[in-house]
Formats: sequence, structure tokens, C-alpha cells
Amino acid sequence: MLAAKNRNREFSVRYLPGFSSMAVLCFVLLYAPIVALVVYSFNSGTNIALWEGFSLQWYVVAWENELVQEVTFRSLIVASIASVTATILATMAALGTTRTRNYRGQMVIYAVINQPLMVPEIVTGVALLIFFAIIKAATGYHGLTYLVAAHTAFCIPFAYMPIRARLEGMDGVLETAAQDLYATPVQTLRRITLPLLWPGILAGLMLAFVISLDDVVITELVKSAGQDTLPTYMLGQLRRGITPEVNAISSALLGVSVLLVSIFFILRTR
Amino acid sequence: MSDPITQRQIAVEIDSATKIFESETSSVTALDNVSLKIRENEFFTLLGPSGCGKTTLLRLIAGFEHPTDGRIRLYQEDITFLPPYTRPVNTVFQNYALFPHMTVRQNVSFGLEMLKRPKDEVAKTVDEVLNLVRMETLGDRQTSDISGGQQQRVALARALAPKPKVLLLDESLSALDYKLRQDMQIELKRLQHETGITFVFVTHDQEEALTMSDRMAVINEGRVLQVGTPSEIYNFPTERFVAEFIGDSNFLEGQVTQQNETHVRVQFSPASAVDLPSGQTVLSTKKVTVAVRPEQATLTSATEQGTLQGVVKSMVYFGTHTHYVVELDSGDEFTVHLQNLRGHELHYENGSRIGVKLDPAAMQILKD
Repeated sequence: MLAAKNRNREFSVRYLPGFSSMAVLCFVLLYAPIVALVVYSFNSGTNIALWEGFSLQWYVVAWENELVQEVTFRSLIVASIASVTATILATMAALGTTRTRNYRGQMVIYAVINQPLMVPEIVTGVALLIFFAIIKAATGYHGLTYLVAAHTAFCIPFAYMPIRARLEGMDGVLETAAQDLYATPVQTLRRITLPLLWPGILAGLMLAFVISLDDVVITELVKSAGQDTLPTYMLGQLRRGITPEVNAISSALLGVSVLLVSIFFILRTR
Repeated sequence: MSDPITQRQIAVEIDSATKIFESETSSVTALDNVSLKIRENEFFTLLGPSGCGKTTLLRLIAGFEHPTDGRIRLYQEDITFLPPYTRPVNTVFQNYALFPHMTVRQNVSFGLEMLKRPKDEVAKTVDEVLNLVRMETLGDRQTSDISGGQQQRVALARALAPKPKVLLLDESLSALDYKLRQDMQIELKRLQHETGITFVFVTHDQEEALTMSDRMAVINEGRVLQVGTPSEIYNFPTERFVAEFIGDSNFLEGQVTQQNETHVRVQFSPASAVDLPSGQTVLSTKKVTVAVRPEQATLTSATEQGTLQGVVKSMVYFGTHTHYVVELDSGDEFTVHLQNLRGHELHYENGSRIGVKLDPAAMQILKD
């Protein structure tokens, strides 16, 4: 009887016991802490572990904190410049690496461009720290440019990924058709390739912006005195004692990230 | 159509073109010393099985590839190494390659805009061309919102709008279903007639090639085997591949026993020989292969002199014709298509002994 019943059921790994519950556990592990963080950002008390009632006061505190305003502004400046620069570079790199015939070493180039995704961030950070130290010693310049350059560097692979994916999904025959219809290579790029690539470029930009906005490790190592970004400022605050103000800032940052990542996914599936 | 095609100007000349694709591991000869002359206002078809090099030849004319050796000329001008965007030649691609981010109208006007034609002229030409392909009401649609047949028409309009000297069509009908395809065949002939543009059409469909072409070239393994009008190719195939690829053919092996100015005598069996009109081939060998179309032979009684003797192996009734397969005494099979004329029906039972009567005028000695 049982054998017959099992035979009637379509085979699927989903029916192996434990898989579905494991998936649920994953979601709980992922989101329970975040839910707690967001909930406690609305706490009216000063204790982050004791619920005392609903209030928006910590958002107001954070909003009116001049230091928070300053570091947020700096974060946005760094993330904007770094993500735009990285996206432009990544677009050119993607065009250069995929819009050619297959060549020897193509996979090596992909691997090299994507390598920073695999290299531990602390290694990249230390490398940049030493590299910039040499330049600082030579030039005496200590501005924000180092931080922007560092962010640009680690943002490139993140911007490159969706752009390359979009390019590979694009039919090369469209560019051939444009050239057949008297478009020069430059006109083909402007009228055909870039418009079709646009969702990929925007997706790369969003991703790079989020990655830059959230970065702690590399920023912490590269920044000079008085160059805190929002994440490194929060890290500094936590060392002194935690108030729900940090929850509020985190929740706001989370909101921005979720928004941008959602746009990224929508653009990617278009 | 008063001027014979052979007296018109040569539009495209392929002069001993060879194309070798080199990769790290192999080198493939896609075209092997191909020479062709395509004349003005001609519907010229490149016919061959997939991978025979016909599309490569088209890409050489369009400028997407450059030959390893040889020259391409357009009205005597050497265009061998000109980039595609400077050649007055347009292509209708196999899967149309319409620009998905543009409307039908924007697609059709693209070429004219790239040529920097004045705006009002572009608008006027686009209207004309959309009319020509009967798409005048759908200009503002997105290319994804129209059917496959309509996309085909837009692709045609887009390629015709700049008034190219030569229009290249790369298996352009193969993505359409049967009915639509037949409509488009008629449509293409009409467009070619109305525009007076030279069409170079690539296909692997022999029926399509026969019905549409003024002249055609049969290509196999990178070589042009034969060039001619559809009836020349069908009636006088010079090579076994041509006879096999276009229509059905029987092949008979024979010995040349006599040869003079008027005829060649080919002996197929001790009892049957046929005198073929001489002059069609200069024979260097004694052994020859002769091609016979199934509808060019008849069946008769086994006693008749000079026939090939055999036994009816199968018969299939097709309405207009009955197809007989005869097993000859030599062991070869021979197919005969007999027309079913009312009152003159011939009927031969399976297993009955018969003679296959050949018509010397409808037999073709093949090159070895």
C-alpha cells in the first residue's frame, strides 16, 4: 500500500524530511536579529534591552545630532563619487572584456577582476593603508580623496558583475545589425549598446553605492582623523555605550539599503 | 523582363574568395576558392545544407567577415576590406535582429538617420517602405508587440529603407510557419520586382530556392558546385550532390562503349544500352554515373527491347502520381513516378517483372 502511494507521488527532493524546516530556520536566523534591532529603535527608554513603550524620540535625537549629520553627509559624498566612478570604470571594463571574440586568458581576466570579492576585506584594507601611507609621505596630502579612491577600488567588481551579466545576455547580432545600417562603432555604442545595457549599469551603480555606504573595515583602516563615515562613527559610539539612537540610525541605513537592493533586483529582471 | 539576365551589369562579384576560420585548436575552411557573379536586379539564391559556407559568403558581402584570400567587388568597386557601415548593402537577419528598445518606425528609420538624411525625407521614405510591406498602421508599436510575420516585414522594411544596392537575406523565412512562409515567398518576389534591388537570398530549402530564384548557386563544403537557373539546375545537374540535394534522382552506373560527335553510348547491362546526345560532357573515363529523375522514366513490359529489367518492389499512390520502386537485376533500386492520367492508368502489381524505359534526352552524365 505504502509503496504504491509513494510511487504515485512525483519524485522531488522537497519530500526529503527536514529540508523545509531547515529553510524556515535560515530565515529566522537571518531576520530575527534585524527585527529586534528595528523594534527596539522605537523604544522610549534608554535601555536597548528593556522595552518601555513606543516612541520616535531616538530618530529625532539622531536627526538632530550634528555629528551624525556630518558623518552621514560624508558617507553619502564618498559613496556617490566612488559608486559613479566605479560604475563608469566597470562599464568600460565589461565592454572591453566581453564585447570581443573569445580570446586566450578571458577566464583569467574575469577571475582577476572578481578577485576582490574573494580576498578578505582586511587584506585589501591593509594593502590600501600601506599603499596610501607611501603616497601620503611623498605628497603630504591627507584629504578625503584616499577614502574615495579606496571605495572606488573595492566597488568595481560589484558594479562589474551585473553589467557583464547584462552584456552576456545581450544579442551581439543587434550591434551587427546597427553597423549594417550605417552606424559607426561609436554610434552603435551610443544608440544600441548603452541603451540596452542601461538596466545593468543602473543595477551596478545601486549595488556599488550600497556596498560603499555600508563599508566599515576598509574605511576604518584608510580614513584619516576626522574622516569618520556613518558606519565607523556608529562603531565608535558602540564602544562608549549603546543607546537606542544607534538602533534608529541602523534602521534608517537598513531602510536605504533595502530600497536600493530592491531597485537592483527589479532592474536585473527587466 | 525584356533584357536577359546575362546581359545585365554585374552587381556583386566574388573573385576566388577563400575563408579560413582559425582557432587555437583547429582551422576550418568555410569557403574554398569561390567565384560568383551576381547580376543587377537579380533574385539570386545561395542554396546548400547547413554549414556549407553560404552564410559565410553572405557575411563577406555584408562586411561582417573579411576573406582570407580573394576579392569582393560591388559594381566593380573593391569592397573586400570595407567595414559594414560604409557598404551600400543591407541585411535581413535570420532572427530579424530588430532593436527591442525602439518602435517599428524607429527601427525602420535607423539606417536613414545614420546616413544623415534630412528629417522630412526620412519620414517620407519610412512611410513609403512601411506601405510597401503593408505595415503602415503599426509604426508606433513596440517590436515585441507584433507577430513573427510582422517582425519579418519590419526587418525587411528596415533593410530596404536606405535603398541598398544589394539586399542580403539570411535564411530569413526559416523562422516562419509553413503558411506564412509561402505568403512571404510571394511577397519577397513582389518586393524584388517593385524595388528593382538585387536580392541575395540564403536558404537550405531547395523548394524555396527553385520557386523564388532567377538564378541560384548550389554550395557544399565551401565550394560552389553549380550555378544556373532553377530549371537548368533541376534538369541538368552536373554533380551527384546537386542531383541528390535538389529533387529526387536515380543514379545508374554504366560503361561508355562508344563515343562520337553525335552520341555517347552507355551500357548499363548486357541487354540495355542508351545513346545519350553527345557534347554535354567530355568523358575521360569509361565508367560513368548517369542521373535520371523519377518522373522522366516510364514502366513497360519486360519484353521491350533496351529497357532495364527489374521487379516491382513497392508502389504508393499519391493522387496525381503513383510512385514505384523497382529492384533492378543489377541489385540497384530505381524509383519511377508515373502520372495518373484518367483513362490511361497504368498499373503494375508488386513482384511483377517489368522493364524501365529511359528517355535519352532526360538523362544527365555526372562529373565524377
